[in-house]
Amino acid sequence: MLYRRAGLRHTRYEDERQLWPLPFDRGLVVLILVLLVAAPLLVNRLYLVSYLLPWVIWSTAALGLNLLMGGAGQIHLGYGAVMAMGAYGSVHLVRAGVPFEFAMIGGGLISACVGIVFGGAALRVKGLYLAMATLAMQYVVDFVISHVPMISGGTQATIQVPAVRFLGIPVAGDFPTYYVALIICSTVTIFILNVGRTSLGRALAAVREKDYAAEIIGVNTFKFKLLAFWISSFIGGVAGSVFAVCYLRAISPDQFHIELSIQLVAMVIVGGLGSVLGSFFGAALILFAPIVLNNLIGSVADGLGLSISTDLRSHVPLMLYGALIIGFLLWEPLGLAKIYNNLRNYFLVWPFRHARR
Amino acid sequence: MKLNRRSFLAATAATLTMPGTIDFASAQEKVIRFAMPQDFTRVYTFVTAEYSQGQRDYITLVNERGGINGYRIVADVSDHGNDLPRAIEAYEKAKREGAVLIDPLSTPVARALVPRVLEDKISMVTAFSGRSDAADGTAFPYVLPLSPNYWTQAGLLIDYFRQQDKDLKGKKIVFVHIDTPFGREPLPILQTLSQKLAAGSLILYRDLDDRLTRRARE
Repeated sequence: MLYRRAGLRHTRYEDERQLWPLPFDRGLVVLILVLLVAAPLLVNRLYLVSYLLPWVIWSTAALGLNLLMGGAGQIHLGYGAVMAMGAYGSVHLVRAGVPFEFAMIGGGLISACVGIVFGGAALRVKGLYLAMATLAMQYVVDFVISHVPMISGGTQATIQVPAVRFLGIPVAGDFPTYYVALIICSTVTIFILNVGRTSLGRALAAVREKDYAAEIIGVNTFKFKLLAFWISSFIGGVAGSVFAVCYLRAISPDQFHIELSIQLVAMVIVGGLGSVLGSFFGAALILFAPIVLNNLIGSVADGLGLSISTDLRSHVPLMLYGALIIGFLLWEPLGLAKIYNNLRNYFLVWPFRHARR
Repeated sequence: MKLNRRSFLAATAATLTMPGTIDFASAQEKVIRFAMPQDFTRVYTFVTAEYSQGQRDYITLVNERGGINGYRIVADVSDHGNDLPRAIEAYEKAKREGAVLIDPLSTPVARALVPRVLEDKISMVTAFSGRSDAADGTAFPYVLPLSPNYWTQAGLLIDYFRQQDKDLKGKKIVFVHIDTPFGREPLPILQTLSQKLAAGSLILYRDLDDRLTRRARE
């Protein structure tokens, strides 16, 4: 129905290979992009600052992790530490007088350099053992940051992010921070979308499916495993620097603990491994479900005049949140993106259900 | 009020469809809004429920005595689960609703909110949490550490020892602490005091296991 394929005749390979061959998909992408760009004028400040901005930043990070976990099949439980290195690296560079644009890339490079060292473990171990190795990275980085006063910023262990400019515009206030995060997120999204249709993406997919089979068909697993860690850590570092500058404005070690890593892994798994759209869906669900459920339970309790205890009131949303995640994964184990995909596939051939792929 | 499914659903629908009316009604009254997003579910659970209950009881008492110059205090208690996005959402919502005070009761959240409260000029209470250097009101005019902070707590302890033992020269004082930034906060004060009072060597124990700290406290 909506996703009309009638009348589309590809006469060149480039047409067939484009990111969105269907006009409806292209229209949808443009619409969402326009809505996101116009969001500061459309939505209330509250929703811009406390929903859209974190969503864009967490999605960027989830995209980076998804390239590694969904794209190359390497589990990573230390992505929060990767973001921490990017955040601390770029903030220290900014404080040393480096412009923010370069500091962001510098933070990304620091993350990539350290990330590739721990990623080296992936050359020897797989699955749960790699999970342990990356978990070790999380704790090592946490320890180093909080025990080196030069990095953490002394006994208070809080560093204020100085005022920075991005391409000549001061990154302060609600609009510029949002737009900087959106620009970075769009760039990363376009990059990840394109990875899928290059030789790099295909090599990563081969490594994901079976690394020695990949070796047999001529894919250098040594190179591509390390490359996956390098790219993913670089994106994580850049996301961390955006996180610090646009959202936190003051960084301390406890903001990048294991909780952040688990949150990101949950986003990737709930959203859908290897799916770009899934990273956005997953980030939205994991970030906002607790907030929305809390506000909902709160307003229902207030509206009914129920005097339920604050303990119950704050734990009921948690139970619902858990049920929500389990429910979504039972409904579609391949993640939220797959739910959208099922819907899209249904409409793609509607009303000729027998033609469904 | 008898609560059956029908009335529950009706009231839920009513709340969801007209959230504006409630705000409007409360805006008519003379109220002072306090935001109390606190950690009821994750790290600070050992204190939050009691702390929050005490606060709400006192606010009820003040309100029933006629409030402050006829203004009623409204406390918005919610849960932020020690999670920054949730805490920042709660803070921004409180700011929109015109809250004059926020009490997060969590050191990580307080640290993250400091730049925002200084910019928005909203008072933040950091009781038994937050950063010690906020005691300097000239640098942090909107951060109110109502209780002894980590530095004063350490100072008071040493002072008490001195009152008990008169002379601390050559005495060993063991400080068992949790190995986090706020756990290490009193260290510089203790080191300075050990030089100042010539208390000999001050043994500092780092402790990675929180349970050990609790056992030591008991």
